[in-house]
Amino acid sequence: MEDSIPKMRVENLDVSYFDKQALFSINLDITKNNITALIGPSGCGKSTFLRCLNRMNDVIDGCVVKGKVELDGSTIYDQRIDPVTLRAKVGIVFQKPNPFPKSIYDNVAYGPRIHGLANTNSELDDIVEKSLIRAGLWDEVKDRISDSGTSLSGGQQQRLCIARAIAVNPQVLLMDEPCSALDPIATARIEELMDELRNRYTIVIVTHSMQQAARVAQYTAFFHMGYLVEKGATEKMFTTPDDKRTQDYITGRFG
Amino acid sequence: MSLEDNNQEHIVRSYSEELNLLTSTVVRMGGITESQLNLSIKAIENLDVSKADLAIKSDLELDNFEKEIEGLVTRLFVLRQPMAVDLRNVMAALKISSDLERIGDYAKNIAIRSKSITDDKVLPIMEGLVSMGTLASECLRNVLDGYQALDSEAALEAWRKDEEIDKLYTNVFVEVVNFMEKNSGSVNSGTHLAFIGKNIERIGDLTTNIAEEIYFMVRGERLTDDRPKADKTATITSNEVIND
Repeated sequence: MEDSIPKMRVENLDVSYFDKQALFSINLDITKNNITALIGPSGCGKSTFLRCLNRMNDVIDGCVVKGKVELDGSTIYDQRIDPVTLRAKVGIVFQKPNPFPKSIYDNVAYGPRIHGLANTNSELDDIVEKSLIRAGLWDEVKDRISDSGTSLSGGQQQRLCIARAIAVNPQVLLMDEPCSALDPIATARIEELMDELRNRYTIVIVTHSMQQAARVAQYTAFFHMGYLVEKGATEKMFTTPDDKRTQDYITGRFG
Repeated sequence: MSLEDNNQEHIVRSYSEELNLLTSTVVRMGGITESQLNLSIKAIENLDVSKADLAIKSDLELDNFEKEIEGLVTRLFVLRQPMAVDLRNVMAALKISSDLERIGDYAKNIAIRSKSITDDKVLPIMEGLVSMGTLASECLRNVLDGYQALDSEAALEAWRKDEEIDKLYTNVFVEVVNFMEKNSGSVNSGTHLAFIGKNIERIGDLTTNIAEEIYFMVRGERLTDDRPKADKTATITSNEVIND
């Protein structure tokens, strides 16, 4: 992962929940304008790792994070950093689409409003439209923008959540199994969307689907029992992995 | 991560079974190819028509094997989406079966040509072709043993030996051309001999392809060295041959 500029850099990261250590000395660079996939069995620490990248762990009881996490060379675990501002820069999309029980418009407008990104209503309209276009949802919702976000289908709701995340101009987009609740068509739409989004954003995705990682990601990192076992170019990981644990996992041999 | 270190079964047992079936089918196909090649060599050694007919007949069997392997591979891709070693394994099976089928075609062609040679005068030249064929058959056997044993070194050794086949071919080619220069009535038989030599040389090349596929399957890295080559026949002119 040395060939392009790291957007985020993680060094010697340890994470514990109370006395149970979940991550052990993780070192990983997240390269700019690429998609990095985090794979590994349930409980391996990949979601914990993802949540460290925008300090979502701050709100989890008993969670202690040690080590260095940098965004563009500046540490994000600093008392002077406002986590809310950080999370606008490093947005997140979850496994289950979770639109606010508000209109489609308000779902997308919420972030720009609280961050004061628009001075006038027409500026806000503009941000909402642009975000929905970038999330590939605009054509499907432009005539029903005042309908409730929860009235959309699962795949549309997930794209609404992506629109909501990108409405505040993030630099990095974290995705925690964004397609696991979606059908294959909706999944294909999101994957296609991710490929477009990476021109503008740096993306980190946690996925249980090896095929999805192989399809969308330029880089893949394999986690196992709290350790980062192997990282590298996706194609290499899926054809000739170096570590036996990686191989056993991706070929379905884990005992 | 090489294939030799891979001893664990898949969680889904039927997946392992399907992969094992694929490998054993390739091994069986390899066995048939080898005996077909041996029959063709026997056919030219003694101009034995019955051996030639057997070699010609077994080609159909190889075609069926190739189709069977194609079916197994398609099924594995669709149902299992193989990754890493498994992916390399399946890819190798597909490519090796197609190389074996081509070897079978050449062996069949050798057998057919052996039936068209009616001229006893060519028999002394035949010796060179038989040595070539025997060596090609030996290489094929070693490569196939390497496939079964996941032994990339054995495959590599056979890969290197192809140079000897090329050298023999160059010699045989010169002999054949000399022979035709001296015996103008034997051009028909002589031409068949030249083609038989070419066929064996191609069989050697296909065998090295198989060796390369095995190497990648086992090691996960490509053979990057240039293979030693000693086939000079393409540059031989008539004058050189006569002065040889």
